[in-house]
Amino acid sequence: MTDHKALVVDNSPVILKIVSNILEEAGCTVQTAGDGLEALDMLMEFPPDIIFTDLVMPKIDGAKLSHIIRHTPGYEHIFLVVLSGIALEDDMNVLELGADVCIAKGPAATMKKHILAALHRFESGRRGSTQIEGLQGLFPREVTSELLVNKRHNEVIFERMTEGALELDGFGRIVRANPVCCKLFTSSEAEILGTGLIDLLPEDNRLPFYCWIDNLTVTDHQPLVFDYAAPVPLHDRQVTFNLVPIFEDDRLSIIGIMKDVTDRKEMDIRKEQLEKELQRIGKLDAMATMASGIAHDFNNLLTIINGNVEMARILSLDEKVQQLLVETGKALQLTNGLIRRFSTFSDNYLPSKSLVCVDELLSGLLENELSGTDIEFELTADEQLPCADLDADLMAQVFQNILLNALEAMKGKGRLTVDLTEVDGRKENKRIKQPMPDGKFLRISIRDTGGGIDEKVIERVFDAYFSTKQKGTQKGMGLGLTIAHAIVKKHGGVLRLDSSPGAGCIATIYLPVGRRVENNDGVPSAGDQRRILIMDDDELMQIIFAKMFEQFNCRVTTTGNGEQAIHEFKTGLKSGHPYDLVLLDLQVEKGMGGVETAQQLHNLSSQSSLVAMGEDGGDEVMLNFHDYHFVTGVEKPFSIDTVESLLNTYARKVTE
Amino acid sequence: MRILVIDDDEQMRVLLRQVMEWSGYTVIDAENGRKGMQLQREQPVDLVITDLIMPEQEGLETISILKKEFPEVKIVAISGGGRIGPEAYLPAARELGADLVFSKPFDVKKFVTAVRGLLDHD
Repeated sequence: MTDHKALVVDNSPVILKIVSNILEEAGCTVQTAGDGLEALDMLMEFPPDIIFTDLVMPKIDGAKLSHIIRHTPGYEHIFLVVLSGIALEDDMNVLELGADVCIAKGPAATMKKHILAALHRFESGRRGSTQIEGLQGLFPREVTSELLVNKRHNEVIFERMTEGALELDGFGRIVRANPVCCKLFTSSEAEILGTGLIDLLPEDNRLPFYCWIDNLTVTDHQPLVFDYAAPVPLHDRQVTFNLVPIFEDDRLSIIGIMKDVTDRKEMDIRKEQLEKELQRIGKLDAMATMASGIAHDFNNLLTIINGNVEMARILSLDEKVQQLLVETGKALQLTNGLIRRFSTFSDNYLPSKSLVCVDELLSGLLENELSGTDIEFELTADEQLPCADLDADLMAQVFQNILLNALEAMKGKGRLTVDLTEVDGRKENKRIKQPMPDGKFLRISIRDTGGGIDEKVIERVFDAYFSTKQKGTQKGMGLGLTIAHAIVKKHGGVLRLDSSPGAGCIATIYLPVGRRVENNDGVPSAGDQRRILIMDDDELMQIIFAKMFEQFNCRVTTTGNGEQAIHEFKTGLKSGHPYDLVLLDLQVEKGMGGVETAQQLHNLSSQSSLVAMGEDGGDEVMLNFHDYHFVTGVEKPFSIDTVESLLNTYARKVTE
Repeated sequence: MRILVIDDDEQMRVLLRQVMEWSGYTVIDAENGRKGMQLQREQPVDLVITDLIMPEQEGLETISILKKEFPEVKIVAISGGGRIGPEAYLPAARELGADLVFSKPFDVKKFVTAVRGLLDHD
C-alpha cells in the first residue's frame, strides 16, 4: 500500500493506540489527536488523506468535526471514517454525518477488519456510506440511548436559542458556538471554532477577560459578566456577556451566554430624550405661569409710575428735575418693552394667524439684515412650498433671534444657508430620532458657519436668561431663544438646535402646514367652521365665551337656559349641521339646568360632545361627568387655553 | 363734567383722580363695581373709567349694568396690560358698551386726550 496520511481522533488513549497500530501496520503515516479541537489544529500542519474519528469527545466532538470537514473548502476531499461507540443507539445521526465509512466500536478484531476494509474503500475511491459496519453482535444500551435523546434535545435548544451561547476550553478557545453567537461575531462556525475569545473581543474588554481567565482556580472561580450597564460593542451591536467557569476535576471549561441589548439601549436613550423634552416643556409651562403673573403686576405698577412721571414733568419748572424725569421716562420705555417680551410666553397669549409664505418672509429678512455685511447667504426652497398658518410678526421675531445668534457666532464673516422643505412628522421622527408630532410640517433649516455650541451648553440654550455672552447693558439678554421657542410652540411647531464645536450651528424650525385656500381670499367657508352651542344664564358669560371660541374661527350660538338649548340643538340636527361642541352651565336659576339638558340632548343624538361648566370642581357632576353624558367638565371662569384644548380634544377639525 | 373712577388698586385710583382733576374734571372714585354703582345712582356722572380685571369680573358686569340703567353715560375700560389677560375681555367690553378701551401700560397724555374727545363731543 502506498503511503497514506491518516489522522486518528479519539479521546481514549487506548483506542488511539489500537487504531494507530492497525494503520501503521498497514503502511500509513499516522498522527493522533485527543479531541476535535486538537484535530482542527493539526489539519493545518498535517493535512491528512483519511481521518478516523470518534464521535463522543470533549471540546469539539466528532459530529462537529465531520461537519466542518465536509463544509470547509480544501477539506471536503478528505476520506472520513467515523468510529462510534454510540453507533447502535445513534444510528440516524451517524449516517447523516457525511462520512465515507461508519464503524461501530466493538471487539478489537472486528474493528481491525472494518478499518482495513475502510482503507480498501479509500483506495478504490468509493465514497459515501449507507450502513454502519460492525453492528452485529452488539446490543443497544439503555443509558446510552437515553443520554443521546437528552443530548439531541439539548442540541435543538442550543441551536435555536435567541441568545448567543458558546463554550470555551481552559485556554479560552471557542469549542462550541450556536448560530446566534456566530452571527454576533459575524463569522461562520468553522471560522470561529478554535479561535480564542480574546481575539474576538474589542480592545477594552480584552484585559479584563485575560485577567479573569488567568486567575481561575478550582477553589476560586466566579463568573465574568459584561452587563447591561457596560455591554461589549461587537460591530454595531451592544452585547452582554455572562461567562461561567466549570471545573470537572481540574479541567476547566467555560460556558458563555451572550445577549444583544442594542434595541433595549436605544429605547432607553429615546426614553431619556422624551423625558428631557417633557422636563423642558414643564419648565416652560412653569415659566409661562410666572411670566403671566409678573407681567400683569408690572403693567399695573408701570402705568402708575408712567403716569406720575408724566405729571411731574408737566408740573416741574426746574430744568434739572426735568432732565432727571426725561431719563426716568427712557428707562420706563425699556421696562415696558421688556415686560412686553415676557408676554409672549404667557398662558393667555394668542398669536393672530394668517396664511404666510415663509420663503418670502425669510428672504425679505435675510436681505434686510445681511446685505451689506460680509456674510454670504443662500435660500433654497421646494418648488411647491405650502404656506404656513402663522402670526407673521411673531415668526419674524423668531427668525430674527436666530439670525442674530448666527451673526454673532460668525463674527462678521461666514455663510448662512437657509433651506425650506415640506416633511412628514412621522418620517422625520424616524430620521432624526427625536420626538416629533404627526402630520405635515414645513421644515426651515438655518445653518451658520460660526464656532458652534458646546454639548454642555446646548442643553440650556432655551432656558430663560441663559446666555454665553458677557452680561452687559443690553436688557433681556438670554431671552431670545426662550421666546423663540415659546412662539414656535404656540404655533404647534418644534424648534431644535444642533451643533458641535467648530462645526457651526443648525437651527431647525418645524411649522404645521396651513391649508391652501383657493377661494374667498383666505376666509374659510362656513362648512369648515366648527359649531358651538353655549348654554349659560349669565349673559356676560355668553358674550365672553362666544368671543373666545370665535378666536378659533367657530360659529357660536348662545342660549340662556336648557329649553332654548334643546331647541337650537334640534334645529342644528334637522339642518344637517349638528353642533360639534355643546357647553352647558350646571347652575341655572331660571329654567332647565345643565344636567337635565345633557340628558335630553343625549337622547336626541350622541354625536355631539357635551361639556359641563361648573363653579365648583369638587361638585358631584364635575367629578363624575361621564355618568351624566358629559365628555368632560370645566371650571368657570376658564381661559382661552382651555378653549383651545376643548376644541382639539373633542371637536377636531375634519382633516383636509 | 363729572368722572367716576373704579379700580381696586389704590395707587391707580390716586393717579387717575389726579390726572383727571388736573385736566379740569370733578372726580369721585370707588374700589369696586358695587360701590361705584352706589355712587352713580346717588349722583350720576358723565363718564366712568373702570378697570376690567378685578375680582369676580366686576369690570364687565359693571359696564353691562351701567349701560342698562344709564344709557347716556360714557364708559372707558382699562385692562391689565399689553397682550396679557384673557383676550376676550377687551372686545367683550366693547360689545357691552364701552366707548374706549385702553390696555396697560398706557400713555397718560393719550389717555387724557381720548377722554377729552369723548366728553367734548356733547
